[in-house]
Amino acid sequence: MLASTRLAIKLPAAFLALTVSSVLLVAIISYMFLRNDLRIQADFALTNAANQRTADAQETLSGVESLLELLSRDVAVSSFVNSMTGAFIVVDETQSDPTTYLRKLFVDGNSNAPAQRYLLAEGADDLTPYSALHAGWQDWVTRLVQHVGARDLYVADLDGNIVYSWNKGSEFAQSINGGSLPQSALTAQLNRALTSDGVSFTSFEVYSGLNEHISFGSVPVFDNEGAKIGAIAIAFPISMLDGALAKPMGMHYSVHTILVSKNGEALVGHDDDAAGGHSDEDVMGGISNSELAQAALAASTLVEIDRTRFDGLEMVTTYRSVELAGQKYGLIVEAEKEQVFAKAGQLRLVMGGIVLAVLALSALVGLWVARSIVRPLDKMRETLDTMAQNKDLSARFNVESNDEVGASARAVGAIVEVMDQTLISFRRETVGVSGVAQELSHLAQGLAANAEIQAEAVEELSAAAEETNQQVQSGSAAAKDMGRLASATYSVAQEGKEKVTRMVSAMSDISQSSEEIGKTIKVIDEIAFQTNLLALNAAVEAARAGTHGRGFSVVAQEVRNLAARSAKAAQETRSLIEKSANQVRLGVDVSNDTFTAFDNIANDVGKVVTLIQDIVQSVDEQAKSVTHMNTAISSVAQIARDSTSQADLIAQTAENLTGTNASLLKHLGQFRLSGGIPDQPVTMSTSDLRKGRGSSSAPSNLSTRPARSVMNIDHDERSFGSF
Amino acid sequence: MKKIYRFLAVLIVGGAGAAVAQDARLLDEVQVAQYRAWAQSPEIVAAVQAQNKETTEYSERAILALDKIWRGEVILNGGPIMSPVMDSPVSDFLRAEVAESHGILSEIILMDAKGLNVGASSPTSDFWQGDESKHSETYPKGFYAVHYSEVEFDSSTQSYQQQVSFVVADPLTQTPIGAMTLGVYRR
Repeated sequence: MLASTRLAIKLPAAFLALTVSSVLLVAIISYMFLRNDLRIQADFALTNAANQRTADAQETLSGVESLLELLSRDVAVSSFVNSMTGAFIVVDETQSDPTTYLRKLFVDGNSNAPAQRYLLAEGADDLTPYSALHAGWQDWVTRLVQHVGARDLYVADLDGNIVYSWNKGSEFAQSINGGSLPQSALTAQLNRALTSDGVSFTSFEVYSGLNEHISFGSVPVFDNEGAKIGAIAIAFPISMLDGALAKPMGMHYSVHTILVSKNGEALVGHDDDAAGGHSDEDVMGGISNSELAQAALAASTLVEIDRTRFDGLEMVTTYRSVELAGQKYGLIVEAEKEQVFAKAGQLRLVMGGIVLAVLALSALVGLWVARSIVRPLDKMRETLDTMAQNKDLSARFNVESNDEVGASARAVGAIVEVMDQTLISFRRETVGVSGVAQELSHLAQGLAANAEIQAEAVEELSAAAEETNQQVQSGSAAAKDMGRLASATYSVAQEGKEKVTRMVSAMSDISQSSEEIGKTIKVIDEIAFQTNLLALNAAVEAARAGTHGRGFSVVAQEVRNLAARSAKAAQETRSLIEKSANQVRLGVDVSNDTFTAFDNIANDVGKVVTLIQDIVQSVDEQAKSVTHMNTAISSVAQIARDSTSQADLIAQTAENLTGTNASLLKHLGQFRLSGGIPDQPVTMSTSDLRKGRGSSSAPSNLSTRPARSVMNIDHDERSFGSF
Repeated sequence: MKKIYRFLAVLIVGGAGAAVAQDARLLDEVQVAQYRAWAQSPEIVAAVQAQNKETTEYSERAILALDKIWRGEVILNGGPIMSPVMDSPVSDFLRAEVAESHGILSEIILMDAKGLNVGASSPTSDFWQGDESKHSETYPKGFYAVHYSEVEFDSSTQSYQQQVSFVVADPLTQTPIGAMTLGVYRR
């Protein structure tokens, strides 16, 4: 599988895999470390926040406590309390039912909305100084109440009458001991203040009179002589802790703070970051009377948990019980997990970006590297494929890179070039050898033929020698016979001499007869002439006769013809006779010559007889020599036969060599080489062959041959170009 | 107007002068008579009578409560009880008289029948003077009652001071309606 994958894919893939896996590993480890760090940070931050919240809330309440302590002995407060208690006394002294009287003035007669009854400063009162005193102090109290963010302020006299309340609720002008006012946190707190010397607070609880979580802080009020003149109670809403519980903690995530009452009720919940998007209801959601609330109340030290909020939100939560102004509360400080790990999320994004960038970069680099490796390799492979397919060693590698691949390609190219050059030399030499072999073959064939001819000639010579032997033998016999014949001839020649003499005389007779015949013919000829003349005259006369002479002219004509024929015959006869006479004369001459010849012959034959005797003697000697020669010729014939078969063998070998060479050339011809050596065998002389054999160290030629000339071949350029 | 008061004063002093103990007095009888006559000015009488209407029914407890309030308001230089008294027209009237006294008077305090302040040229430490001789020795004692306090040296002003108190009466019926105290300087 891996081995069959292309390097162009394998290499970038490996590069990519390595890079990406290492980056991913780093990213994951960083992410995990960061997450762990963030968790630790969050724990630290939440612990810090819880401590801070506790400290801030305690500070707020202690501030309020200090305020109350101040109020307790403040001249103005003392004066105010004095005024209202005094005014109440006046009312009490002058009116039969002060409660009804005052409530009628400030509650029933108050046209303001219940929450704004404090706006009525002076009731329609012309009987007592209460209204005047009330009007005198109301603004001051309003400023005080609003300054501390309180909901109401109550003044009780030493008798337990609520002689003043800022906003004139149900408590106003009532007695805290019995009467129509039900016992409440407020009445209890005022009682506590009237019977103690210090500041005290109630736990934050829903107060029916204000429909809100209220903590009543109360303190006795003393005059400037240190005498207790009454008590004040201030209704602090839970929102007074907003500053402490909702103060931005400056984290990169919003911190949720929840305060749980000792009853397990969620009093307040805040998201310190307004942009956090969590309403107080959401922050407090599901806390009231939950196990978490109970756990928070029970935990003396900070406990840290992960929890899922009522709405499914994952939170990192810390909680513990806290004491605020002497009351026990549960404090829960938490943060959204998602926000806590937001940086991890960012890191994840950044890492994702980096991974993608690295992915892209490494892919690019991988592809580039792979390309730089694979492309030359591919080119080399393609070129080698083409070489293998086309058996083309003339192709060259065009490799630009200088790295190992380039070097390898060049090395392979060099090998190919060496092979090319070797094969070119090989082919050149083979072509040469082929020509030599053919020539050898021709020579061998010629040699064979010559040997054949020689053999035949020797055969013939042998036969001729044999024949000569026989002829010599027969010559010897013939010479002997000739001797005898010559002797006989001599006698014949003598005899011929005589006969010729007789023939000459005969001839002379003939010559005479011929002369006589000549004379006769002359007569005939004259007669023929005369006849013709006569016939001519007859014809003239016939013509003169005209029509009558016509028949006669015909006869004349016939006669004339006869005369012509006679003349002609005579003429022919005369020429014949003359010819015959001439021939006879010739014959005489010949006979004379013949006679001489016969005479000469007789003489010569005599010499011949002598010669023939010599001949017979030499023929005998010759016969002996011919026998010797015959034996020699037989050996020569044998040698010639051997030569033939050897020449045949050479020819056969040369042909085999030619065949082998041809097939070698055929194989070589399948290679396309850069050298332009013709494939046809060249005719070479044997001296060339010898020279070729002597200089057959082809590779040494390679070095001396300029490579450029090899590469300038046309198809070379093409394959170079396609490379 | 003042001349009339002076004339009246002479008449009054002439009648009562013998009764007054010849103690150390920073104000002579004529002077006292003149101020008694002046104290019957309609501004003063009307103010006292108006307050008397309110305070007639005040029990001692209520008065003590109001006095306590006053004392508290004194520390604050004013308040719903004290300020109306101090800022009233009759107080202005008293302050004008003090200014015109050429350094003789340091203060004038005007009290109703109960001894509660009706007006004063300068803030008093108490609202209720009923327990003090300036009221208890005058108003209950009838029309002619005049009370001189001990002469005291006031180190802050380097001067002697004496309070002279007398009854403020309805000029028509001679019925006491309140009392007045004059603070007198003597350097």
